[in-house]
Amino acid sequence: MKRIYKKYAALLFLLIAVLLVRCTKDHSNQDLTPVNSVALSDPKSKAVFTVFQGDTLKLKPTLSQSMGNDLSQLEFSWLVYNNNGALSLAAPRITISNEYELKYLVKGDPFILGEPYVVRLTVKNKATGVNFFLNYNILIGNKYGTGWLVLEDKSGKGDLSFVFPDNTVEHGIYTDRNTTQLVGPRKLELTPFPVGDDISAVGKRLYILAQSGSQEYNYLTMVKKFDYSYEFFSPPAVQNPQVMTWTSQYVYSGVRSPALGIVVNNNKAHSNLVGGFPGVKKWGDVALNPQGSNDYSLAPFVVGGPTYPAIVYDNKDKRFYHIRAYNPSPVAGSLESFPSGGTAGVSSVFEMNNVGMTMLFQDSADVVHEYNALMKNDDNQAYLLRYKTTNTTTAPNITLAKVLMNAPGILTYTAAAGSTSTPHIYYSNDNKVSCYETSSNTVVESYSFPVGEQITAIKYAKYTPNDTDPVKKARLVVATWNGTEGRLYYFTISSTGSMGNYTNMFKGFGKIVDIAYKY
Amino acid sequence: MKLIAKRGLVMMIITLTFLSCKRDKELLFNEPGAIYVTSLPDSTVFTFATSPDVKVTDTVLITYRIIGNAAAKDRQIRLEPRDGATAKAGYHYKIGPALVKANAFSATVPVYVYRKPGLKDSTVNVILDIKENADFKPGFTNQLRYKISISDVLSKPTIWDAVWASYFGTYSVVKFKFLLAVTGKTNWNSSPLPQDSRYLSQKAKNELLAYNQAHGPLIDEFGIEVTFP
Repeated sequence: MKRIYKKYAALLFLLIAVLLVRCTKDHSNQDLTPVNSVALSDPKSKAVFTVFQGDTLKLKPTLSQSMGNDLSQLEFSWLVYNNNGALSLAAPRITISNEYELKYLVKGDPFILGEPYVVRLTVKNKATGVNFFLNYNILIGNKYGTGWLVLEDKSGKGDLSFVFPDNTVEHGIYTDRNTTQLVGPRKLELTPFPVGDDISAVGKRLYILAQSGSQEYNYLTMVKKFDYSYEFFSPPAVQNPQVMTWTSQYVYSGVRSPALGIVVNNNKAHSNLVGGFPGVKKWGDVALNPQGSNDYSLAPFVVGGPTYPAIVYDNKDKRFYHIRAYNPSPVAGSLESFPSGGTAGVSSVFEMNNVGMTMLFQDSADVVHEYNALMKNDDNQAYLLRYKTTNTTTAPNITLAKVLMNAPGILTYTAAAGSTSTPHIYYSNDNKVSCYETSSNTVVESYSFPVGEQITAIKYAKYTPNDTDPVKKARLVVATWNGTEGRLYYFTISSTGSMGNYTNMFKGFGKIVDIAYKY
Repeated sequence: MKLIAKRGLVMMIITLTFLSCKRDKELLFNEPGAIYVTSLPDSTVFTFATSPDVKVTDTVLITYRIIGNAAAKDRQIRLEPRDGATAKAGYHYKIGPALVKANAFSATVPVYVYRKPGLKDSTVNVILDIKENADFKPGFTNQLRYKISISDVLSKPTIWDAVWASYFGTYSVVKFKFLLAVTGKTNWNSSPLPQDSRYLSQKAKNELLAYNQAHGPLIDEFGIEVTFP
């Protein structure tokens, strides 16, 4: 019994001791004092949005304070960092503004084209040091990604304009970003598939050809990349660029890749082979013809396809040649004759190696890998030659048609484009566009612009993917020049190839020399 | 008695159990490092004749690989010229730093070669053998040497028939000199990439065309007109 009392006494003593220890006076300063709380909100912060290079990023979230409205007690900081998961989390944090409202020109650092960024507003209560945050997720886009690129001649100097899918136009793009003068601008050359030439990162290529100042142009940033001469292992002695293109064996965009690069400079061919092997690839020296001579004069047109990566036409010897992509011996890169006669001969409708006419124009036909060539014979008659770039050993013929054309004025055309949807070629004389139907050998439609408005360029686009129109129709784009101003017209082409009237007109250009759809 | 036997048996099992729990020795490579030549072929014929006269020195690179583990420190490769070498060390050639860097498994050793007047009409040779030192034993017995031949005489590239003949045809000194002059290419002992062979062939053909138009056909030392396929 005595032992039990002792035990309870000890427990009681311990309990009292614990209670006494707990009851100390509180000297802390951690009172729950209300502070000014800042609430930040902006619908833009709810999702990723795209900001284009060259645009001003403007952000001003709604700000409310729980105690008063005094902004002078708040400190603002806009911080930016790259949010690409493939990069290190230690990507640099850069403060771009200390104002409540952000107005920042997106151009160069820290914003890289195509990269995602977090733009974070931090609002600090100066009195309490408490920070409040709002994050925006942005993607840096290229507003020149899709649309019509327009090459203009302004008193002999080249410039670029861009027509956006929403039908707005920006002028002076080249001169705004580049110092190299384009003298005597001639042609735009775009590759719709990436090229890996190891002189720059794999990507689509854009070349601007001119009398002087020709160059490779940055497809994304719209600034000059390389001089024309840099594109060659040894630059041509005479620089007279006419064609700078890459052919492909494929038409489906998912697998399209370069088969062979062909330059026509001063009517001579140069070729460039790429294909995954290492080392810098550039255009080579002048290709010689089968006689081992450079005494030929190519028309400024190049096509290529599955069997023949490149086909060119010599207006001196009045015949076609092909250029192989790769062959170890004799090494590829020369102009070669087509197989003729026997079971391997490619010519049945006309002789590819002996045409006997002058090529004036050539463009894609309405069937994949088929091309229409406008030719002139010695009697000044216009002929349409149709051929293809693919064949098989059992069906080697590539010549498809030879037609004496019933197309008034076509020998003096000023601009032309072939339809890739319907059997038509659109060509111009003065202020009139004519639609020549290859299947019926007649001009089926024409459209005349006001007198004095000369047509300077025509392009046909089978699809305009990012067009704002709900129905993606083919489009014919026609450029005119009235002596003081260049204009661009859109014609929506029907499923039968009919032009109708133009649907859009854009003004304020110089003399338009070429147009290309960029996508 | 029965209890003693049981306890003894239990004690013995426990003892045996502990005895069996011995840490196993790891079977790791623990041999001294060795080294061997990986350059193939294991020789080079170097000529200054393909280079402009202003070039008086050049470098031959030999690659080596170790057998064994990388080390935390740089290790020396002992290279010695084999007896009978006609190339004189310090005069015709000099071996550069022969080191396997720390944490590396391979090394590239530069051998500097010098253009000397006597090389105009002679070829000197040296075979560099791997010898054992404190860092490395000799590796594979058939990959312990590298032979360098140095000259200033225009000689047929060793790969001409296998590689260059398909682009330029039969070798001749006149043809080779013409190629050296118009292409500017100096290394003819390695195979070209497709874009290079394409360009070299085109360049040679165009330059030959220009030469023939200006001077008439280029004739080689056999009296045959120089042509390219």
